[in-house]
Amino acid sequence: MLEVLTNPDSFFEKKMSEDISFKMPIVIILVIGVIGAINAISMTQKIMAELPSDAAQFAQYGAIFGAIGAIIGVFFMWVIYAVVFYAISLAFKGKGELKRVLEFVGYGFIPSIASGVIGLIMMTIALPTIEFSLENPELMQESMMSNPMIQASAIVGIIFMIWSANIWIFGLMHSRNLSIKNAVLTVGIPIGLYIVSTSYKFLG
Amino acid sequence: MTLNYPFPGTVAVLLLLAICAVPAAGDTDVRPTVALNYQVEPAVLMPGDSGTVTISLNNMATGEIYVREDNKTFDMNAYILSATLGGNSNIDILDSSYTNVGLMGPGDTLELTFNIKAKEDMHNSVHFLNFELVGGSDMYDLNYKIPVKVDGRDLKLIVSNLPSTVMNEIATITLDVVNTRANDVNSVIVTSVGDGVIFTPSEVFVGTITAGNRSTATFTLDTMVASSGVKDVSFSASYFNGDNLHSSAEMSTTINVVEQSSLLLTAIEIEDVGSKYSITGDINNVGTTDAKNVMVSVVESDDIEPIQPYANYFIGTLEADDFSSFELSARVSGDITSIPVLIEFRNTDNAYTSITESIDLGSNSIIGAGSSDGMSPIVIGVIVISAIAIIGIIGYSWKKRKESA
Repeated sequence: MLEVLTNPDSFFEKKMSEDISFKMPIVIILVIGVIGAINAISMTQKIMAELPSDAAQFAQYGAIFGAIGAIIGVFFMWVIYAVVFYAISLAFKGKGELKRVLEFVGYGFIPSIASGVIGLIMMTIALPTIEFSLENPELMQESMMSNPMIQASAIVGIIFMIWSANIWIFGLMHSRNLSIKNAVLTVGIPIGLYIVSTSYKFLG
Repeated sequence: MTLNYPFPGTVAVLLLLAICAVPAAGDTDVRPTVALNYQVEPAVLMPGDSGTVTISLNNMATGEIYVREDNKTFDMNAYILSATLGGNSNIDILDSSYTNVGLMGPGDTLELTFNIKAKEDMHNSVHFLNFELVGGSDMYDLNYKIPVKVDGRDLKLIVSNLPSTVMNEIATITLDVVNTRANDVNSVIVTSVGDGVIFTPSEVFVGTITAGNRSTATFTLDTMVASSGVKDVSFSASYFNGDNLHSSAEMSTTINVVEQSSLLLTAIEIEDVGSKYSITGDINNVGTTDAKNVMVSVVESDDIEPIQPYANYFIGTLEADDFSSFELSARVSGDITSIPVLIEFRNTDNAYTSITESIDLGSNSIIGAGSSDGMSPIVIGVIVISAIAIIGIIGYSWKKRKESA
């Protein structure tokens, strides 16, 4: 498994000779989903403290739904990424199954586990200092965006996203039989846009 | 005979210059009679004052000018050859006598006015001026003493509510002006002077104060910008006694100014969220007068930006000895250790006043501190190490690809 992180080219080359298997990618996505669920529960608990007592009991159900939503959301995100890469690779006359792309994109989410854990730690530190003003959601959002810990978490996320992008480049190169240049463009365009928009939102 | 003294009223003095009698022998002389009134203005002089004595002569005869009695004809005109008012060592008569005045017909009235002046160094007393009337024809002469009172009593100024110690505040001072004299004084103006403090207005027109009565003048004492220490304040009054301008004795006193604002901020709590500070607290009016239209605001500068919803907070009227809570919010950048807060209000004279207080970010209770300090060195270190490691791994993976290619 370490090879996908340090030598993705060789890893995906070997995988092309094997049958498509979603076992490991699903585990990876599930782990990321669990980390996201823990984050959602922490945020919900913070919001519950700001609510009046009779509304707080309903917020417990909100925590459960938030956790489930975080897990489902990550799976949804996995599919979206694969579809977007597949669609862009069509422009470069890529050849290969969507299922293979889906499998290889799943492996590319491994660095997100580390960034998720680091982000969870930073959010735990930052949460008490965030102004949760339900009457003024703009203040709440601005409070979060300007929090140094939240900003650090965003920077860490961008750095690990670049690592994931590196893995996806080799994954698309083999799964869609693209040249390295076309693979870089296929992954680089959407990921580059994502990094630019995240940087603008958090770092101003 | 009634003498209405001291009022310059009517003093009727009937002088029978001729007695209508029927002697046993049958001879009767009919002569005109003259009534005398006088008025002194001002009613009571002060040493050095100028005034007037007006003597009113009235021919009491009625009817015809010529009266026939016992086969004789009598002329009822009052002939006045001269009228003289004589002074003494304390009062000068500034006019000469009236000569060849003429005659007064029956029922006629004649007023003779003399200017007088009291000496500066004379004592309080009543002085009598000699009035001499020399009559002609059938009229007898007249001599009369006219009383003129001289009293040097002054107005007295009494401050009833001047505090011995004041803060940087607005206070209302009430001054009683007492007329201790026996006559009215008019056009009274009270003047206030302060060393390093401001009286508003500096002069107050009181008007006429009747004898033995008082009037009140109200001043606003403004010590908002006065430095601490003992300050001299004095009050004086100018007034007219008749047409004579006088100044009362100055009433001087001192007040101690303590450099302490009358609007105090207490119970300050500061909550910082990132670079935003939310300030809550109480504003207390420890002065002696109400503060109207009170508003507190964050003072904007290069490093401090007031932000909504509480860039400023309107409190309204804050009565003396009362308090109100307030809330402010500001965004701070740079190395700021205190936030200036502007307190604006109108005093009892509706004059705009402002005070700037400083809220120290270090010593006040801060909730959620730490997040405003930016990223800690540890976090920056984690980010840098992660970036270096990941770049290294990416570089290594491309190197492996080249080798395999």
